[in-house]
Amino acid sequence: MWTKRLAQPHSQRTEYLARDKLAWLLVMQTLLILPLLINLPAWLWLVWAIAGFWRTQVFRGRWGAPGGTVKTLLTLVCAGGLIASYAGKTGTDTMVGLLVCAFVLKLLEVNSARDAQLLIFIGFVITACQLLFNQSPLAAFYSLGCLLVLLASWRSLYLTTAQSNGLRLRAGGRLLLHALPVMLVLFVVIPRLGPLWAIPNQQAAKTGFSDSLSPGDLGQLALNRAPAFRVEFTNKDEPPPANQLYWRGLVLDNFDGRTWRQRDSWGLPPAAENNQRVLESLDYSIIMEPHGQPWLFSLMTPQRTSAVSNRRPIRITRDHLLYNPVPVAQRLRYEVSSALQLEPVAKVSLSTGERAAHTRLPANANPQTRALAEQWRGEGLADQAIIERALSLFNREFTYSLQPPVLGQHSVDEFLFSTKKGFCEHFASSFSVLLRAAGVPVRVVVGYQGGRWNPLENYLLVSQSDAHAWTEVWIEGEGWRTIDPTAAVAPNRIEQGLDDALSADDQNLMSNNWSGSSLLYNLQLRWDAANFVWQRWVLNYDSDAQEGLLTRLLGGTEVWRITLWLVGLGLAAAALAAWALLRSHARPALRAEIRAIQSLERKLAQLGYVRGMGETPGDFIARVIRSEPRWQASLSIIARLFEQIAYRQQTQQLAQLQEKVRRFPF
Amino acid sequence: MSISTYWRAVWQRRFFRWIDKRAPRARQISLNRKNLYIFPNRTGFLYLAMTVVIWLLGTNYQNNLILALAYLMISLFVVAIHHTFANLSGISVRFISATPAFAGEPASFVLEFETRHKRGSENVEICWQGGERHTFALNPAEPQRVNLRAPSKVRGYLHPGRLLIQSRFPLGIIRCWSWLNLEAVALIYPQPIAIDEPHHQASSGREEGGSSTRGGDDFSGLREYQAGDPIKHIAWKQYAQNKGLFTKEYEAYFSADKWLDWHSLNQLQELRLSGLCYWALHYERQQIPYGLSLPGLTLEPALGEYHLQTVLKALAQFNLTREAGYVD
Repeated sequence: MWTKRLAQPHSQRTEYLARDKLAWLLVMQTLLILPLLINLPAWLWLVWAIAGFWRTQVFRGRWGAPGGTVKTLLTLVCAGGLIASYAGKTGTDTMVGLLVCAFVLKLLEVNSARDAQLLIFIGFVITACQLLFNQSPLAAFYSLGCLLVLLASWRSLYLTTAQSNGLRLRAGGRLLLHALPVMLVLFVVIPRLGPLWAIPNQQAAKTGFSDSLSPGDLGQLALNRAPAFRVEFTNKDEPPPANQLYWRGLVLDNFDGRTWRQRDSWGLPPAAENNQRVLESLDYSIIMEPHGQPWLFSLMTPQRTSAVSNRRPIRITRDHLLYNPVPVAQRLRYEVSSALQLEPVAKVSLSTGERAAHTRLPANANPQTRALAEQWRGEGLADQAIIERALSLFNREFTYSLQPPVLGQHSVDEFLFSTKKGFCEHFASSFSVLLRAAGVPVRVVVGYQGGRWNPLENYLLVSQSDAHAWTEVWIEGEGWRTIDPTAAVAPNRIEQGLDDALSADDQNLMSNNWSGSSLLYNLQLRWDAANFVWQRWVLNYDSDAQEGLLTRLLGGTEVWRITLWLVGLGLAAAALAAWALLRSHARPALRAEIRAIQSLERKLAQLGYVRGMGETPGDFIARVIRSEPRWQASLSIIARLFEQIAYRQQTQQLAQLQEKVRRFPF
Repeated sequence: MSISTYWRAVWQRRFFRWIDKRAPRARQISLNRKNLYIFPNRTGFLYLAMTVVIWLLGTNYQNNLILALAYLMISLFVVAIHHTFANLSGISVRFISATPAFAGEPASFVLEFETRHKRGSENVEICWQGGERHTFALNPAEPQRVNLRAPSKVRGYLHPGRLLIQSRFPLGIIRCWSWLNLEAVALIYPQPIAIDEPHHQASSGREEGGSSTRGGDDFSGLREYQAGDPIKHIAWKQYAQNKGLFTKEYEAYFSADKWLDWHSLNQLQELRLSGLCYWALHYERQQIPYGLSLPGLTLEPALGEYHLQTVLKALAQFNLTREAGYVD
């Protein structure tokens, strides 16, 4: 290709780019890759800086275009960098890295309109990549802005005359504006397909808790205001009371003296164990933020669940948890129906193996706790009495704090007998250890508790700061019952949420406080409501939502119905376009001198002189002069100027004519 | 000729026959949906391919915003069709005049363009079939004259063929074009070719040596009388003053008054015309009066731009046997 280009004479049709077009490309590229650079390795910043600087110098005429050696060198640096950064990985990041590299390096090479055109096309893909990483309304808005600049610079490539930057931007905006309606129709109507082939898993940032629980884990999360998921209750307009909102994520039933883990990774789904009748059920749909983990959240005893736009179904495990076959890397919407209350069945019992597993403790850990439990047992207390005693112990002597002292080897002993200050995981963990030592089957559950009701859009926002740990205790004859030892210490935590449960000191720890000002609170409420609407109607507009909307709008989703509507819309649009076209043609462009003479005629008409049919402007003016000799001077000049412009093309006199007409009759 | 070029040529011939039927020749033509054609170009198809790539990206990642971007790109394609069409629609083209040229040189045609589009028309490209391209922009309600050159091969009348008017504005992915059959014509003079100087063959009935009364024979001076000088030219006045016998010399006495005589040459017709053309230009440059003698046409010797044009025009139009210059 290079040799070919060299062999051709210079006069070949390589349209060199004008400087203004290059400037637009430069701005466009900078805007496009800025949000991506955050996710990309640092050396790409460097390459971009070099390329951008060089291009600017070329633009200012200081430097020449980079030679072959420099280009080869830069390409090698990029190739090396890509290999070093993404060795062995063929994920989205690698693709984006490669694309940005190409985008940046191509800028150095752009000489002709064809190169620039290619750059524009890569620009569209880069915009798509922006949306891959961030889909918030703000990000979408930013991308729309990028598209505006992209279109303006794209259109500029084909301009033959100089135009002001504002004019270019407006023309780009006009293109974008004209394109939006069709885009909306396509977005609503075109059927959604599932993924066509498996794609390398996106490296989603893992937020939220991990699959183990040690003291201090959740305290970190309490500072994180990021949303975890949003819930809509489909058969209710009001949220259930806060003490029912225990969003279960993981059941941890294996304690090693310090950390709680899952005993085996994911149990089989319950073998149609007992067909208990559901007394009260709750239907809700959850939009889950990607957390990079396979578990999902639900209220106690989910009965049915379905994820839309997901071909592999969500499983309900033995422990009544929801398990997604693939880690949640994209925002996921799923619907759950939970049984709030089941018909009590008498013969519910725990197998010996299960009972042993749920009372197992490491041999040498936490001797003081074990001693206390054995003392209680020795007093001949029943399970129920032990639970109540433990809860009242917490209630009397413990305080709730985000900044508990650091715990050492026998963490539960230290917590129960010396520090007595802690966060939910401390209470859940020590409560469980105490009960297990007393022989009561118990397990720790982690998830979220509560959430903030948004009355604007009627949904519940559950944030990372709502992360919570509690316990489930086996009650003979009833089954697993949720018991939250934290509620015994800080009932506010459960009823009103985290902020009310914290001391002033702890509240200072949380930097952006919701409850600080009601104005701020309202704004945040509004902003989150907008986010929710965005998620529901834009990000999660899937085949189900599509069907629902189409049924509501058109009365059905049959192909003929959609086609009919589309044809109708198309005809309406065509009629509109035709009307616009006719309107623009109805007023043919008039020559300036004719416009001037028409305005003179209007003035004369007000004074009582109307040009007759077939009367030439010259004759007309002569007639006016005959009856009004005082206008002779000005009118004869106007007539002369008009004739000179109209018939002798002396257009330089146009300004004079317009001036004379404007000042007529004086 | 390769097969593809052959089929291309066949297809183009058929296409031209079709549009000739639709758009008859006229001196002024307005562009509208009847004579404008529109189709995506190669860049346009590349753009569509890009759209598919982005659609796949959106579908595979189940990312609605990327899907929306793909739909926006499709929508932009549709919008581009309208904008590109609107850019050319409403332009009217008028043939104003043509400047003559010598065969083998490009003739220049003056065309006037005017647009009714209220934003004007950007990036309008025009060329005669096979001629050079010219790109310009039109302001609204501001007629613009463009000189467009077309190559010429033979003398006679040059019909430059169809005028291609096209635009890819604003996005370069759609090409809108029209082939206009303008009633434009230019006169092509013969190509000047140096041949032996033509000699005037004294035709019967003319005075020998030419009359001194003929135009261009200004008195230029006196010289000593030599035997054989015509008596008429003796300077009797000087003789009467006893200054001696002198002969009045006239500029055009012998060598002046060149004749571009068709019959003095014996080359083929076109070469003869080319030769006459060459000598006409030569004499005009040398400021030697020259006349033209063609079968059925005689132009008396004279000088000046107007005379030259008349001579060249006569040469160009001589004995035109065919609908000259019109190449299909």
